[in-house]
Amino acid sequence: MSESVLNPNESLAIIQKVVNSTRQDYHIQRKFYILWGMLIAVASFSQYAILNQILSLPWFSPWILFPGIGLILSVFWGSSSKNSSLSYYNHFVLTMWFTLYIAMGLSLFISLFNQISPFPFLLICVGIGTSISGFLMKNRLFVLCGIIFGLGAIYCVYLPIQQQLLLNGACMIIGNVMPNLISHHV
Amino acid sequence: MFNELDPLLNSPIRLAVMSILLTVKHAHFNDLLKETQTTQGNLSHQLKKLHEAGYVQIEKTFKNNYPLTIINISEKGKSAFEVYVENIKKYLHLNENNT
Repeated sequence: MSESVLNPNESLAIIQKVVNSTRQDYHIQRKFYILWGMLIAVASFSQYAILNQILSLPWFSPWILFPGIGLILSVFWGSSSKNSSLSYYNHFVLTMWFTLYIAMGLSLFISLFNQISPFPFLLICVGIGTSISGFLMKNRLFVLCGIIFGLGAIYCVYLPIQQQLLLNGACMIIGNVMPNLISHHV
Repeated sequence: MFNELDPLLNSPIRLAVMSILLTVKHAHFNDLLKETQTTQGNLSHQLKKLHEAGYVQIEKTFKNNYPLTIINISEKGKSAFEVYVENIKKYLHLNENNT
């Protein structure tokens, strides 16, 4: 089989073309963001309903049920797609979110141990992840959403726990679910 | 002048494959097929050459009962690519000076 041999200009053109096409390859699956944003929002609203005696369930039940659903679906989706191509960008983002989830878990434990609200810390963690994703994608919407989470975290400090739940749910929908639904650049 | 360039990399498909593999942790055969826009047979042939040279690692597995080939670049492949790019730069630099 005869092969065409490249000259240096052609070689450089091929390398540039490939690098330029993969630079825009930000196809982290939006369904994970949408799923977790929705579940955390629903869990927050459910706990609000429980605390206001609209629902008669143990106060912690939404935080077991909805993250449990999220975990099962994430493992299922993750295992079914782990053998596809994985760019270094996607690998970095997945690792970052995994680390942030650990940080959120630790924040939750420390907050409950000290009997303080975990929501400001959780909002900060989600805000950091969203902002970094936005900076990497050069997507201003995601950077803005990260800032919204940060502002939400500060505002949380001035609210009673029940209103913090509503604020947490609203931040998840505005800062996480909506940008992933409307953005085509993820 | 062209003899300085690695003949294994100095072919359109193999160079495209190596360039893609540098930007990903691992690549699916079908993704490479789509990116390189070549035939399945040709891509397999070019990958075999890269594999024999130790430039890529190939893992053959199954997904939902269908065969799946996962390719990633080796350290040797990364080094060879770096040398190749350096040689191109040198050549283009010489070329610029000559003109």
